Amino acid sequence: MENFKPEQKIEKLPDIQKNINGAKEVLKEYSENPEYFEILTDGEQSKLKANLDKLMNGFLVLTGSATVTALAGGALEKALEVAQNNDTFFETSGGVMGTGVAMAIITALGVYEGVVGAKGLLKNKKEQIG
Amino acid sequence: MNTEEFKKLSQKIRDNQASEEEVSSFLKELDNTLSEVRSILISKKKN
Repeated sequence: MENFKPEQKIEKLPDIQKNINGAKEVLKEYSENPEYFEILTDGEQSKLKANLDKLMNGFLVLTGSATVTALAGGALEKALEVAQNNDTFFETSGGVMGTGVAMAIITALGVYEGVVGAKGLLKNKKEQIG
Repeated sequence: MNTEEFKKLSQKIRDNQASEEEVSSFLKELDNTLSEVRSILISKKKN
């Protein structure tokens, strides 16, 4: 069995990066114009929460850093906390997700992108030095 | 892949115990997850 090596993490990221950008785009629009969107159903809420949980785990693997992931994960955890504990959460004008949660996700994705970008630069630098 | 399965696979990769196929599966799932977040919101956009 060939194990996964850290340097492979960067090489396999382009497709994920595209999807991060796509998700950020629509989340940004949601956070700025929540009235443009319909209310999420219970099923959609559950799916969104499960997806956020997955993203946190994914960040941890791809960044390889618990500290950095905590920054990204912290924002996502806050989003989940708001979703689970705020009684008025589902009554906001922005619908079930709320603009605060959307912003938290954007922040988390931004932190993640920054880490990946920094690692890519380090890798390039290392290759230049040889 | 459900959340628990994904968590287990994530841990396996972090422990350097995953095969290439499992890593590919993980990356595909992560990609799908991001795509799904986007799709859920887009599907709720008013015309």
